[in-house]
Amino acid sequence: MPFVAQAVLSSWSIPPWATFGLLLAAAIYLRGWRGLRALRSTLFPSWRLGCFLTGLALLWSAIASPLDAFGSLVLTAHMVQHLLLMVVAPPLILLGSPAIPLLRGLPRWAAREALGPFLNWPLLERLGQALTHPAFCWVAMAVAMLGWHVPAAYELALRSPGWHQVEHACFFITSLLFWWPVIQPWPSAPQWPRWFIPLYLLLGDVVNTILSGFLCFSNRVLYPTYSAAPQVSSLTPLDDQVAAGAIMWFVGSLAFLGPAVILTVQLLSPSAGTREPPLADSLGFNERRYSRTPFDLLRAPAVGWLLRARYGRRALQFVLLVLALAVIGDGLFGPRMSSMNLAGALPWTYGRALAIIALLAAGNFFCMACPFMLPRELGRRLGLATRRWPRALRTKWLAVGLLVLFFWAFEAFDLWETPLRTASIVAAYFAGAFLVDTFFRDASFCKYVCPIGQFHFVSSLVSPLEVKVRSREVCTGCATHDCLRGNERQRGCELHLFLPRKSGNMDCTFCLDCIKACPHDNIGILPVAPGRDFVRDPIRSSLGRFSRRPDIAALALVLAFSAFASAAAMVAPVASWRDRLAERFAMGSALPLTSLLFLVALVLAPALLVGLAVVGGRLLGRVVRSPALKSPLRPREPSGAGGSGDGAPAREMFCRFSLALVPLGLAMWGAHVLFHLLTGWNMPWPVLQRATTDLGIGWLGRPHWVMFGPLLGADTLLAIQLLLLDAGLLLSLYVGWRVATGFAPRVWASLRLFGPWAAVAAGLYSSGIWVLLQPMQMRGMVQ
Amino acid sequence: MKDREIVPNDISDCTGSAAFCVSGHGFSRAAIRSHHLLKGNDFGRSFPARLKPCPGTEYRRIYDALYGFALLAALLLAPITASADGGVVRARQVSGPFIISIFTASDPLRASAIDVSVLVQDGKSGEAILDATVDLTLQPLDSDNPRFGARATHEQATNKLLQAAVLHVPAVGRWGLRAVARRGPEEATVFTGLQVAPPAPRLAAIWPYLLLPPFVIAVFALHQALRQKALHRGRPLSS
Repeated sequence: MPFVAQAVLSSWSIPPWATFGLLLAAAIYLRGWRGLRALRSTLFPSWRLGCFLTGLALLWSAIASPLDAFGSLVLTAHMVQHLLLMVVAPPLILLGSPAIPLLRGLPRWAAREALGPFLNWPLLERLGQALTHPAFCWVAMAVAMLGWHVPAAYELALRSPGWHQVEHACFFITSLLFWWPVIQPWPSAPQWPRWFIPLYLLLGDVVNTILSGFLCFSNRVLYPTYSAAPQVSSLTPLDDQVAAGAIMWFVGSLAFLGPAVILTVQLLSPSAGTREPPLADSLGFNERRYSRTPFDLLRAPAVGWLLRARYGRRALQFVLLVLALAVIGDGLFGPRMSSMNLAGALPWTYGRALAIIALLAAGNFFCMACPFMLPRELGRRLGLATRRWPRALRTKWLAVGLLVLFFWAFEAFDLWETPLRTASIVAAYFAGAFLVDTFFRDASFCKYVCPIGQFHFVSSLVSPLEVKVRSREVCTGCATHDCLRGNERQRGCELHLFLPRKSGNMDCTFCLDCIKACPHDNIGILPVAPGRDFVRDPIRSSLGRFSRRPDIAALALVLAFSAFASAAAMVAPVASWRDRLAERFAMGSALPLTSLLFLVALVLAPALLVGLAVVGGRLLGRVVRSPALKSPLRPREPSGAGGSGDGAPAREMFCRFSLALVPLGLAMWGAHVLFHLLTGWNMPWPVLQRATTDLGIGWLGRPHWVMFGPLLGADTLLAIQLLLLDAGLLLSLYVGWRVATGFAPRVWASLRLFGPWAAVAAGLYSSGIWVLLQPMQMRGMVQ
Repeated sequence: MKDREIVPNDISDCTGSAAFCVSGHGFSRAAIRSHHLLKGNDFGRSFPARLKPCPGTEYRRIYDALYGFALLAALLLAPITASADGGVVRARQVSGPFIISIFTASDPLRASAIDVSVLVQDGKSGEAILDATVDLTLQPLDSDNPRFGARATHEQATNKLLQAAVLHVPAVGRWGLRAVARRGPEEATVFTGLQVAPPAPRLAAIWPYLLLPPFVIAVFALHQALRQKALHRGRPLSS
């Protein structure tokens, strides 16, 4: 193939958002179509699926193929692109009758709860009727087609990418409208008689003919951009214009007149009135023929097998154990430069990023593969683990303290750039797990001590997967409760989570012991609505109600505020401000100021803001006094899992609303670690090569310390970070709103109660935006 | 808050008897079928299976709303439907054995990253030349800012006939852009002036992301208001 042709054909550009949107639409349609086809294969034959997917594929081709790249140089290419957007993709999409499959393909809650009220909105209904009226549809298409081909408008689109997008959107949307009455996608009903449609199409062809004739017979180039552009084909600009007009004329007429002929023949056919299948058919299906099986990760191919395998978890733990030992070894004996050391690259660039991405995308998979479990097992075999963890320490307060200490130490002692200290911490972690579980039974380290675990426990309340029972009826008939007690083959849950009463991922290490112990195979890893467990407040197995657990609320606040503090400490303005202050007060180091910063950010600011929000909410909402409001008090648990309980409802408000900030905090953590992952993505391989070369293993090759750019451009990365933060804020606000409506069902009372908490969330969000817009200090994270 | 159980006044009729529905209550058969097909998605919970008088066209209205909603959504998602090339020709000259065309974004150019694309063509045949090296240099015309440059490559260009590079213009003012194309012993230079305006405010780049939460909150508020209204009126929440 000639090089030029090769270059032309390789001029594809993948628009990420459009590609994602179209893939999502295809997936939703496919899901809905499969369900509908199981019910009524005659109504949704395969050709409908084919049409819809082909329409989407052609739409994507129009905006991603070389047609787009050459659109500003060659009018013919631009014309073909427009024809795809106007007369090819829209009718194919409508032939798929997309309304019902898309609706059915949505998750149940989205279709029922989220869309339901809008579908019943009279205004939208009238709008739908008006927009799909044939007169409006025809006028919209004609105005768009003629308007955008006026030279001034066309030139504007060629000069400005933004207007070019608007032009394409106009073409596509008005064409969807134009083809609507022609195809009349099921189950819509025609607003005008069908015999009118051939006339409608003929009138459409008149517009197309006028325009294409004008392009063909004009004796000058109508669009100056094409005169000024370099000639990359054998056609002169005027010839190019004539060719574009001819293509438009031929393809457009074919698209308008072909359906007009087909429709006319159909209408004149004697069987026209009996095309609709008999109604009895529609009622003949049995709903049980098709019942959706909820997604279960344990039943997924490959991953499910690995998770169910007897030694699947152990294998994951050994992989991480090897990596942890490598971190310790390299940290103790390797080079002092963090970016060249496994103790710098693995835990801080890859480890925490992957753990948080797993939390956001799936669940608490770090705890599942946690290497610190292995020395625990070793210690347990010594037979000394006979004691129970001290009653006074059976809360999360110790872990809260350790977590604050860890975040402070991370900044104060620059753990990310001192491999020796990183190695020491990992080694200390092994020692801590070994010691605690050697002397105390029942996974005391995981449940009460491990700060990383607590971070993941709280974060996993946002995760979309949960270890839960598949059918509650099966549990009702179970007398052995093996998931909790275990049996001769398999121990039960060491964290005392009784599955039928377990709600959410709190305290769940994804160890899957319960799954292996259940004799009924009634436990799976099932999807849940992210954040659902912040809204509900049932009595949870081994935890009680969240509303009675200020320790868990404190954990949530540490997670949320540390996300912003940790990211802020990285940015140049904060670092220079700290250094200037240290210089001004003649401090030898920045340690006292860093300590002060973290004291303020992780202790004083949360206490002050949350205190104000509680007081403000109570004053504004008058939760206690107003008889109109539903009492927030609920029956106390006899065990008193989290304190005396005299402080309610202030304490209950504190506990419930604090948890609502977790999604925002986790989103900020996600935005933060994504930056490190995408800018330092190339670090581990040369570091691993260096480490193995130091050990005398040469088969991985010698390291090439080449400077790679970030995996994504700065703008794309910022866009993803901002979207993450937006999603976190919205989920936090939604959770807060639902909690508020639980306290006070009336809208205004809920708003007053919720207002101060929304202000706290908005403040955190604003600070997060500011941090993301600042230049980052390159603190050894990038070579 | 638990949803109120709504007693519907429309399609519930259909779950019992098809004949009852068609006998003069105004449903299209397609609408009835689609109701049944949606039942599997739990829409049916809004419609208890008992016979009640059928008021007429309620069900159609739901689909009209659905179309309106879909079109509105398409309108809102419209920006995803195009990715424009959108450059303008800054210079096009025959220089030595080549025709060199320089493209940049349209005016005003901002003092930040500027995408510059260059097309090198054979001076006689006009055929695109792909194996030429193109070096770009930016130099200030009315200030003391240092000159700097970059090599344009096909990899950085969307249109692979062109060669592109991103140049970071540090300051406002008049700049000169020089493109030097070389292929073997052949060399040609094209020069053009650029007027660079102050950089766009950072907000201009990120405003869609900042507007997203207020927009979603507004839609949610509307959702809640419609839901409350539907509950009070006793209409089904979903279709």
